[in-house]
Amino acid sequence: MIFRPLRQKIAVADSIIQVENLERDFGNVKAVRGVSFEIERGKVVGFIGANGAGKTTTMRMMVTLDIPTAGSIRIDGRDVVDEPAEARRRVGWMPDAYGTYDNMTVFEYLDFYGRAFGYKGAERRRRVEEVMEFTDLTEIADRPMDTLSKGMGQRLCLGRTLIHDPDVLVLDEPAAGLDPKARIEFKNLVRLLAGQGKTIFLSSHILSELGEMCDHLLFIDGGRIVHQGTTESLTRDHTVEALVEIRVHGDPEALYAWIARAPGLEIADRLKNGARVRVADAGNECLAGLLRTLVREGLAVTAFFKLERRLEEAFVDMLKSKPPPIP
Amino acid sequence: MASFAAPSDFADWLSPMLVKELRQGVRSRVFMTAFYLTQGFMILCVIFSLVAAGDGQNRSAFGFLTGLFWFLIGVPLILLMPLRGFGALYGEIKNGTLELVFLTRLSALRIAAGKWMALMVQTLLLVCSVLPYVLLRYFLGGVNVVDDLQNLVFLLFISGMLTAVTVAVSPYESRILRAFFSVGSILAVVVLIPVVVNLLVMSRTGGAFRSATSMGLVWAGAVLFVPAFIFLCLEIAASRIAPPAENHALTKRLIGLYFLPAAAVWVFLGASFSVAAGLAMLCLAVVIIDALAEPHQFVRSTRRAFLRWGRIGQPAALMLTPGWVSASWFLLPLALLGGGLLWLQGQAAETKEVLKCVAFLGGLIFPAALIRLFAPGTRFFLAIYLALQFFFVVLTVLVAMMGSFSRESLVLALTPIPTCTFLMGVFNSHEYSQHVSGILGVTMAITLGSLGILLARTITPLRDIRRALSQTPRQDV
Repeated sequence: MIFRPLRQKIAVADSIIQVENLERDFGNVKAVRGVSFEIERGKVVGFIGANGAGKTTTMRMMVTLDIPTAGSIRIDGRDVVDEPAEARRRVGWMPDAYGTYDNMTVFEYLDFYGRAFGYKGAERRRRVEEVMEFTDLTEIADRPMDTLSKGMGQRLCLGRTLIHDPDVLVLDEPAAGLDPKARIEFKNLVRLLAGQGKTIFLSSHILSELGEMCDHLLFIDGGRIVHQGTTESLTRDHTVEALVEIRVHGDPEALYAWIARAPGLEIADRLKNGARVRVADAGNECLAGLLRTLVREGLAVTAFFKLERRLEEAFVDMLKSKPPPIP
Repeated sequence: MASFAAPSDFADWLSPMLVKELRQGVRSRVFMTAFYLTQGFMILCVIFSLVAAGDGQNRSAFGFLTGLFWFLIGVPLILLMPLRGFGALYGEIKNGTLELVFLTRLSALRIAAGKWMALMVQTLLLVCSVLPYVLLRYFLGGVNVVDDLQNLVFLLFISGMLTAVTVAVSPYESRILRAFFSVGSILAVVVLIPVVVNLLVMSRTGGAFRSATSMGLVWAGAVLFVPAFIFLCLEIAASRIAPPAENHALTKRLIGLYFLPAAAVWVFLGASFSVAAGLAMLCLAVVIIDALAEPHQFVRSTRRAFLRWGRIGQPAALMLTPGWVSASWFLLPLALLGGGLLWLQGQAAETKEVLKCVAFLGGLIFPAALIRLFAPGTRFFLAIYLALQFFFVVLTVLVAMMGSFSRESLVLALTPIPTCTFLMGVFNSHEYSQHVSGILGVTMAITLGSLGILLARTITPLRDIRRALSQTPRQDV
């Protein structure tokens, strides 16, 4: 289990990020309210929430770019407010939008950050070359950075994040705006980094992708953590009904008529040769019984399968079912 | 694997920000254009000088060409390069790149200093590129090459100060303030260029700076004030972009305190009291306005640093932590030091000098007190403050321009506004001299009242700090 409520003071062997009762107000607007979680070293954690939910505000406080109104954040034991320099050395931050510099090449950009992190001479050149190789930027090292595509730019931005070899990577919407190919490349890079033991904390709107990449997920809504756990736990815990796709040979009208009469079934979507059907009881026995009945009724069933709920749907269901916020 | 030969064009010991800015800066269109135009105009200027020399050294033509020569050098050095400072930090803030730089080991001051340094190196490149033309003019005769080189160094000093000022205001994102600063700077420079060119031409033809003593005093003044002023400007820039946990108020306010003894030393070396005090006041005005405009934010770590100082930690934290609350308390030691030095200089007996000093302080804090009284929660403190000061200056100018009929009563009517009183004093208004004791009394009362309002307004935030500290575990504080 990655996330432990801090108040229980469970001895965490290797917790690298500790967030306790975090709050951030902007005037009268409470952007973050009492957020607490801990993340173990080497885990990939997804941070999910709608626009304005408090994701970026929380992340900016984690990387010392903003100060909490209340609460605390520790990165590898270092308080981000009291020891910002120490915390920064351990964190790499990739914002959702990175700015470009005029009149600067890819190499010069990374070289600048290498210098800024205090690397000298051959060591700096080695770091920059390693990062360029890892992010596949070597061939475009001489290209002006304001001519890069979005995908190349994101790789460059990730490269900059890695230049000082931080233990923790905080990535805000890293895959936003990327084409499918660049998205897959980026996902592979994250997997490689996770394999190297980096702790990765990333936010995204593409929930299905986060589900594939992350060990655990944190859901934030209205500035509060509303759910934390694995992809499976989310789809399982917040499932209220199942969707079954049934296909038949020939005219599906008989199928529609039968479903309309059957208790506990409802057509969700009419297909060319079948239907997606909402089933109140999604247990395996019930589904097997349903299939048997369909065949017995003389319907020529050619396909019958349960549709896996997507993470997005589970998320929406979860938001619908969560209790109203405490005023 | 694709190979890439990494260039090693800049040494490791150079500031990372300087390297980055130079790489970008010397490729920028503004620098290239300024460089080519300067070269072109210099060539034309030398050709005209050659023609004038061939005509038998017509003195008026030669004077004109000398003026033109320094004007052509002055425009890029005093106008173009310093104006580039406006975009130094603003561009980074707008692009969202500054935050990424903060996450490195570079402090806000190193970032600001790197920006300034890079602009100065580019200015130096321009200066170096005109050196051959300075020497060419020597061969045409009638030119003292040492004077010319000295003039170039002075231009470089002025350029350095102006660039530092533009870098200092470059983090401001408010459009109103940026427009205000831009117009103000251009006006100041447009006024400054002819003044500087005139002084440089006069220095060639036997003007103000000819004597070795006065030149020595000018150099002494430059050494005493210019580096500190540039450092102050860079600290102001740094404080505007720094994370809240970095305390730049301490350095800025200590530099502010430094200007007072620096002025005293300059007077001791032989400078006129009015000039030295005027220069110190100009620098102090920057410190005080910046301090009073700082937003108040309580950060434990900045306060903790002071509490390590033992007994003086508490009062030091009260006066030297960031924000207008501590700035209000900082005014007390500043006023005491200023008063002490005034007394030591023997100027305390001069009512007019005392009045100027009191009106200067009052002029700076009176608008601040008005804002804290009537709009305490405003986010536009600096804009309102500058607007009020601008209004007071315009009011004074209008009164000064009026006929003698109603002027005395108007001058006296403006006495409750210390900014007006200060300006009247600086320009030696006749009416002002006649009622100096009465005006001093009113100005003193207004100044103390303004200070009282500011200090009273700090009570609530200070109580909040005390409450926050009492809720924090002792070892954390």
